[in-house]
Amino acid sequence: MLPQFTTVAEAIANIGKYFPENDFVFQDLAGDETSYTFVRVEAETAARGKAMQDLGLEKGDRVGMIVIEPEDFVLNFLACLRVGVVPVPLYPPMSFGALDAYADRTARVLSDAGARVTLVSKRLHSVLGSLVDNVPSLEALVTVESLRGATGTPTYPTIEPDDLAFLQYTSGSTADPKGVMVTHASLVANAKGIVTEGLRLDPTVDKGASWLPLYHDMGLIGFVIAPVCHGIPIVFIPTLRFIKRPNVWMDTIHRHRATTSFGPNFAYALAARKARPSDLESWDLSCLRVLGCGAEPIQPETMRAFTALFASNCGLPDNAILPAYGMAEATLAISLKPSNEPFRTVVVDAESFQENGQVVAPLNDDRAVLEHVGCGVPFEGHEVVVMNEAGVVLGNDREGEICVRGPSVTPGYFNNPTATQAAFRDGWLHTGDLGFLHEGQVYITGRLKDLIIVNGRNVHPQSVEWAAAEVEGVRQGNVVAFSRPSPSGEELVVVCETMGVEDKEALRRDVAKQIQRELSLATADVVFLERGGIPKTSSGKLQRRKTRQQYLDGTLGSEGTRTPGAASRRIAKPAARPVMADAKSTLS
Amino acid sequence: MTDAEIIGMIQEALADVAPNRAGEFNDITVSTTIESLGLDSIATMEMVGFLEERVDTTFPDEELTAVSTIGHLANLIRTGKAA
Repeated sequence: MLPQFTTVAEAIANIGKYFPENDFVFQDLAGDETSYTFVRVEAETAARGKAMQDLGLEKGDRVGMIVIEPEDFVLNFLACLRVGVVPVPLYPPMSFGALDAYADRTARVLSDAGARVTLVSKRLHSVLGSLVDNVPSLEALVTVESLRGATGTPTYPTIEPDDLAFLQYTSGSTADPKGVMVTHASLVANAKGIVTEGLRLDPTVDKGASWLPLYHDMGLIGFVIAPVCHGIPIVFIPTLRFIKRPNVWMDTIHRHRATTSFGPNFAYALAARKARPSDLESWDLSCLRVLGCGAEPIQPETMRAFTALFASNCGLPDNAILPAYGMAEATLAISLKPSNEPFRTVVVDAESFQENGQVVAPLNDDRAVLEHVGCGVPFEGHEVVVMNEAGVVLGNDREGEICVRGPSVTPGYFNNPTATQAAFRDGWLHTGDLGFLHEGQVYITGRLKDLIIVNGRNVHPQSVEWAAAEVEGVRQGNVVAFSRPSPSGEELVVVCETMGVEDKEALRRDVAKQIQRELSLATADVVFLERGGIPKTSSGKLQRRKTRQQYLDGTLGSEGTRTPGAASRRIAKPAARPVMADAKSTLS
Repeated sequence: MTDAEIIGMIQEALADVAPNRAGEFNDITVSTTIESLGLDSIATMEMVGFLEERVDTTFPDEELTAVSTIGHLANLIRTGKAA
């Protein structure tokens, strides 16, 4: 086994010593693969570390990274960590057009981070040129291609466990970007929890395969940092390649005999939908031991449908699906399902749960029920408790806010004491997630914050509401955005008060279009209400949760309100019949 | 390929990525904007992947950022350039 390193820099420096034959395999967008043994990873990251220093970068300097190919991303990211330069990973433009809004968001994050240099893929260079003018601290955009073939040895600064390793910007915060300060110590602690306690990976046996974005904690920490700290070989698929051809995920696992992969709920729905009969016939997935699922609410039916399809056709072990819970503020993972058990769910009486937050079995067979997925057991040395609004710790089987403390919890947000004080109180990270503890496992049931999660991406409702309010005919300040459940996860609903608009269909299209343009988000439903139709507090503040509940109940306003889909009933007030039967029928 | 053939192929791609909404794409023309299709960024790239596979090519990223209408997409399929 590897020794327990105290910094990631130390782990990278030693990566070639213990399992020199293990490797990182990088696919490019065409699927061609390049292998770097860990010996070569050590040498290459040293040379690129020298290249960073030749750019004038010093320990503590922030460097933006907008890099498409995993090969360039991973090697440069690790090079930064070795020389104490602090990377700020950002997502590349990934769709048609809408570049202005993208460039605007990116400039705000880089300004907040005070980045001196930004590393970009060459073909993004022309598109991102305006950043230099719009980010005061930014001195240069440097293409990653220019760093290839670097030689030489850097001067290694002393790196302490409490030093900042990188900044993780949470994906949806547009107006007020918040960069989570991830330290070497928190990375080392979280990597240990993930690899040795949760997944129990063995570097002589296991191999990971990942298409997850490297600008997001699940891909970056789960499949770059944790493997570096524990010697686990990984095959990297470019995210864009997976999105364009979802079958490459299972195909890569099959070819490389990978044992471990992760994805958000939507990816499992997508993979099951896209698999062709010829694929199902040729893939042997009996090698898989762990298929982790996190980053967005987990739909048990999606997981069951995925497992049924791939177990019967490809030999997928039926306990491979591994629900996980975590967040960037806790570095990555907080709890993981024990890897040798099937995933657990608990079926509760819907009314008792929604009215009183109590986890009790259905009182009789006719009662509406809710099914919650167990997201596993917290790591050793970490505490997870459930608190009520007054900060009182609740017992098992009671819903409240999930709060966490332990060595994986980060010190806070970069240069943002206000946001830090709001989330980190009395030594506890207040996650903003609602849930309960049941027989030692963490169950997540919703969110205190009105965050919307679509395809694993966090979206703040305000940014959607502001976009919708720009449309003529919508009453400014009288828009509410929230999510409703769908078989693949969550989808976006917007409720607007309008004034004197005749053509509601045209307005519906305009609102969806504006949201699409500014945020690249599809809107599943737009509801129009007359003035005063949106629930507000006595002081006139919008009540998002109440609006959402009324929408799901079918009691919101009048005009334009649609009956929620079958899936919505799963979290609505008690339906006339058991809801799981409904949920099944929506998964075709 | 004619415009009609290409639009047919794009409709197939749309039906593939948004099976529940296939009926909404019957009336698209070269002047239909991509944003009016109401796809999120993942479904959009999934559609691009479907088209790339069909015509056995990879569209250059910098051309993708220039696409805003079905006509641009048709040009891309025909010539590898959006405009």
